[in-house]
Amino acid sequence: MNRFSPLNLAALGFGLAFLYLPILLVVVFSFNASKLVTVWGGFSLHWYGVLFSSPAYLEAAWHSLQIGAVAATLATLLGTLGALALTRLGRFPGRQVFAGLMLAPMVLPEVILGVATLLLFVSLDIERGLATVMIVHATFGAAFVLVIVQAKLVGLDPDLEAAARDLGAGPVQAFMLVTVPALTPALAAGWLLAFTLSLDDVVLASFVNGPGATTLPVRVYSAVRLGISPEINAISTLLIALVSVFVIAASLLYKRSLTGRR
Amino acid sequence: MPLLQLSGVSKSYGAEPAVDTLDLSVEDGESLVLLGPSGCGKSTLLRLIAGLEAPDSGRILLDGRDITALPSHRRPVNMMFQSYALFPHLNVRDNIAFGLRREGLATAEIASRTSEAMAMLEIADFAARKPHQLSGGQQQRVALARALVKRPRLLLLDEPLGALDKRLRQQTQAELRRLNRQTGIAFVFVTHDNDEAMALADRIAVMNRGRFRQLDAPRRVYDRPVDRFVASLMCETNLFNAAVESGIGGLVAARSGTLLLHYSADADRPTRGGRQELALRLEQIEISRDPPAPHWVPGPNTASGIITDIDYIGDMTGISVRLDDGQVLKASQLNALHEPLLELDQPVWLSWDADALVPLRAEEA
Repeated sequence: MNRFSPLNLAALGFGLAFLYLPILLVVVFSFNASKLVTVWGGFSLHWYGVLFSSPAYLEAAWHSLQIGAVAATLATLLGTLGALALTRLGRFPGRQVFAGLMLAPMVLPEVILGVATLLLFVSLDIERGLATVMIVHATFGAAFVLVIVQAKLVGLDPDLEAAARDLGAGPVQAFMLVTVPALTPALAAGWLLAFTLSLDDVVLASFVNGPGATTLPVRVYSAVRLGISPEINAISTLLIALVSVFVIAASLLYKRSLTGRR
Repeated sequence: MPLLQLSGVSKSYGAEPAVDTLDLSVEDGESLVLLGPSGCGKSTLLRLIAGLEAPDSGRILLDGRDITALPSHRRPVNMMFQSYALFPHLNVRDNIAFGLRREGLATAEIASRTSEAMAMLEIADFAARKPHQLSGGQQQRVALARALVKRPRLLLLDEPLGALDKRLRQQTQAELRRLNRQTGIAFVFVTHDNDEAMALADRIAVMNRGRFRQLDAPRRVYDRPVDRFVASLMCETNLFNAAVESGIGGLVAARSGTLLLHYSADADRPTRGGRQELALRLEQIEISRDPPAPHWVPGPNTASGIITDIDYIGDMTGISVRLDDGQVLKASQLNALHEPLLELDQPVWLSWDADALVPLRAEEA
């Protein structure tokens, strides 16, 4: 059968259009000189200029990057520990429950996760701000990191660490010198994914952020409610570019971590 | 004083004991092979000696010092793993230097000892390569160098040749023997391959279900197996369950079907009327195409029959012979250049020495 039959090409074209036409429109109109969002008025970088001279957006972006970096790091740590527990401890009582709980944030509706954590912070009387968003994003991201790291750990020769110990490395040293380097691509992929998830989250952040801790997506969302202004297109374009780079890097690293020789 | 001494060492996973109250001593410079089918506990025993597993009971002594509680990284014992377990992110040189770095040696000494080990195993050309850029044989050498460079008192090798093809395996066997003599380091091998065991060992310990069945020089294990398990593990063999008829001096007469078997027994000679299991190696049977005498009648340790199966393997020919009473005996002989090959349905006459019949100990349940 011809792989490039008219039917296949049409399906591909339709699929791509369905997925990416809206995004393409946003990107195109971000370079629009006109103040009207839907009318093309010629090419211009005007709205990017507006964006970069707007302290509100810059501050929100800075918050997002901070939260993303801290949350991704925490998520990588937690997810890796979870993956180690699931692969190394054998069958311990409650293993299935533990695995389910670790992965729950992946399938749980974000609204519920948001409400639940909000209630937790309120009842513990924790002031909401950057730290609370970091914590929620870390729990959310940890589930994704766990899946990635676990896949790598399962394929890792259990004798690698044994060999390191046999050659004179203590248990901790053996882990740091042999297992961690072998996991590095998976850890990096997990970190990037957790960072990306944090960067584009609106729901969780809008529940648990406090005054002065608005993230970029939350900022955009609240701005859109007052009507779509052209600088929203510009900022969306920048976010799309950033997220694409991170997701592609993460998936390349993940692939390498799985196909790479043990 | 033996180099390594195990006394009453046990280890079980769940209900089944993997290693069952074993005693073992290994002499300095010796090459000992633990031979047995998979799951017999030989690898567990190796990991117990390496300190990668802790025994449930018993003591392990090295040079007379109790090392039972000593963790793996403090034992002057190194292991070569079946999977080689080379560190994928380090090149050959760094893999080999890994163990020396852990000892905190001076950089210059690490470099010189690493180079020396690479030269000894002829892998200096690949020093900068990563493990995945090496062939199986090269990886095997790196794994060996990485363990030997530590100058251990004892080197443990878990199926070291398992991943190599047959020709490379034979070459490497000879090389391992040479390294054993050259370095004076005692080697303990684990293998399930009896040919490999005989090529490598000063002594072979045949294991089954966590226990030693026989611990002896290769020749003794092959020629005088103590029981049916050892006899059939070492080589294909004929087994008889014979009824004892009489004993004259050291010679015992027994009967299996119409076969009259005379064998020599030293100590615990079975009583008249008892059963005795006997093993007879294929190559110990002499095959003749003609009757030994014109009016030949079968006497002790002789038989005649028809060839029902032929297995030509180059240097040897194996045959199955159906005797007149229906029993099937297997025999083999070296192929001589000018002799015609044996043929199916050909009548043959078989005979063997009384000493070729090995009385076996009754199997434990």
